[in-house]
Amino acid sequence: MINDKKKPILEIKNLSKVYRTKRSIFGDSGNDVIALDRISFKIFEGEIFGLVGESGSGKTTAGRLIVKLEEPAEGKIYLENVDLTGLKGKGLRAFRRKVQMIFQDPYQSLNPQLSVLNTVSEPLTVHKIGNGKTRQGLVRQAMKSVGLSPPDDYLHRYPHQLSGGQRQRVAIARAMVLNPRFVVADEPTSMLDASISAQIFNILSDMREKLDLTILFITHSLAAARYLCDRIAVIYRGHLMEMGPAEEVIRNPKHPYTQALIDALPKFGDCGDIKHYGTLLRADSEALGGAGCPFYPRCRVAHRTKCCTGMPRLEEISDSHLVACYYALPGSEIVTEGDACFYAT
Amino acid sequence: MALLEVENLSIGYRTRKGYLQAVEGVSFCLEEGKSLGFVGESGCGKTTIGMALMGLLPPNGQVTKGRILFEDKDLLQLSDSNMRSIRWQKIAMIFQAAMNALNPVHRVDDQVAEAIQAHNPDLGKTNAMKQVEGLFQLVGIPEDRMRDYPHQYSGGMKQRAIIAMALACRPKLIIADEPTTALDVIVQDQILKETRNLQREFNLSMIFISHDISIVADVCHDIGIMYAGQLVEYGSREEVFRSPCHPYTRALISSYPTLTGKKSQLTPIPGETPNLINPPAGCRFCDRCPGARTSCKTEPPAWEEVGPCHSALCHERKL
Repeated sequence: MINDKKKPILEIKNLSKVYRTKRSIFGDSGNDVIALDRISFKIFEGEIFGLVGESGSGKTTAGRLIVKLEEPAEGKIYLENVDLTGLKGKGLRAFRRKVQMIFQDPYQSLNPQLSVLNTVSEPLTVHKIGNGKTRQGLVRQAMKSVGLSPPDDYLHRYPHQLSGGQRQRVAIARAMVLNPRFVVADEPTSMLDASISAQIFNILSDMREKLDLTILFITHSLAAARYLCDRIAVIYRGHLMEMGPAEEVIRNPKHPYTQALIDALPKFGDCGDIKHYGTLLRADSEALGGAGCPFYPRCRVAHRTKCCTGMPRLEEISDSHLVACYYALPGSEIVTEGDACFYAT
Repeated sequence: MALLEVENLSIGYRTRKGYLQAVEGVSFCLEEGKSLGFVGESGCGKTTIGMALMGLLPPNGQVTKGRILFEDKDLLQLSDSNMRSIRWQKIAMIFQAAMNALNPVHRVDDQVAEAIQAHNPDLGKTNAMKQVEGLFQLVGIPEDRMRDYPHQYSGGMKQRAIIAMALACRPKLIIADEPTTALDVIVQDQILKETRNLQREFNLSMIFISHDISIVADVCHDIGIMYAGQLVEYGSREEVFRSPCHPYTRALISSYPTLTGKKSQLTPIPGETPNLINPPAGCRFCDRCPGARTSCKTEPPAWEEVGPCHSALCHERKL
């Protein structure tokens, strides 16, 4: 549910990021990979915003730009109305306290030589918060909040003594110990068992409730995004394709790519009224050099010249539901087909 | 007649901390052209079963009980050289983390050709290459990418190459161990569709091993739910999902996010899996089971028929 009265905590305007591939010694200029192409969105205070897309879609790049692990090629990011572009010194330190990141792979994001206590208290040391004793108190509190209790059982363990789910909880505790305002969670459950994922989802949504936290949740699964997020943005090859309230985007997806993502999710049990859209062409896509819609080569719906010559703008089709597709506008909708469920009768 | 029959299979590992019973008393059978899926959390023994079927258990692992009947031959009684003639020619495996299963310094087509030639030494290089071409076509790798190195492939293409390699000797049974874990949804969907088509085309039997219940639900005819080294529920896909019997199966299903249903219904399974070096005497799931009674702690449960092709290992059914 979006509340218009809520103020945006994060605002992204025309953000682009280009990666240059290696130039050859013969003066070949190499290829530029456009990871993000002028995307804009706002995240409101206290919401969980889902960024959904395939690998290579630019979703992780967006997360890394927001926490300032990388610098954008173009565009601005505002956190609480402060422009992040030229942030230095004190301002940057304050920003790093406010914004934290949870990485994808807890097997690689934890230092194997640091005990849990040292891992979780490191941010406190870096930001010179408290002394030895008070730090331990804060660490214990953070660990309890992620369900690692009693903390004494875990404080002196090393990452190799923990299971995957426990490691990711330590990583979350490390992000939470500074009491940040905004957290970027980059596929926090993709390396974990499906049954452990539910625990991590619940921890994140608890955090949001208790600490009034705002979360950017990056994932490739619409099902996970639906469970956790208030709003979802679907990203494809650096372009935002669809954005809107989570339930609306899943019940009523307008962009063929969103529909393809829904088709691709394995379904079991009660599929309710989820439809099979069949909008994805099997052909693997190559990015179009031209100006067209990036999804055009894989899209079954689009076969007209319009789609390969101009990128459709992200337009509002109903209350806060935005779509970038010529065929999503009222009157030119796509016909859906079939039932998604394998044993539907 | 069943292609593969496994009876009362138990596998253990000798570890520094003691003897670990990784798999205990697992029985199942697989018809020709059918697929069977094993689902469970990491450490439940599903990969160990796959490795035992291939005869590739690590040196500290040992089958302690049971029989593996493949085409009426007990694989456990075969000599190493006889096993080698079955492995890859009759039973092939798609290993976990296929990303790392390709050799980075050899071209992909050479690697697949090498696998073919290893099992058909008489086959010339050119003939082997011809077969590779056919295989790559089958799994959807474009011809002009055949001579690439693995690092030039995307994750999905590497997975396809690995599947091509598993198909190289036209096996009867393919064991796929977490074949799509590192892939994202659309590629995963394509690979699963591909495997289903290949299975139909060659009348392959398949064993899918995954922690993701939705993948197994998507591709398998029969499903076995594993917990702490034991099979706890076994049955046809429709039966198991329509009326899950074992509390663990129900917990697995309700901890999985789907596109429908109420959002608040996602409930993680509390607690942790028991230590298999000293497994509990009674039901292994009883500490995490919402409906556990005192008798569950002491008495090991027995298999109960729930339906015509559906059974579960739980005390609850006796009531």
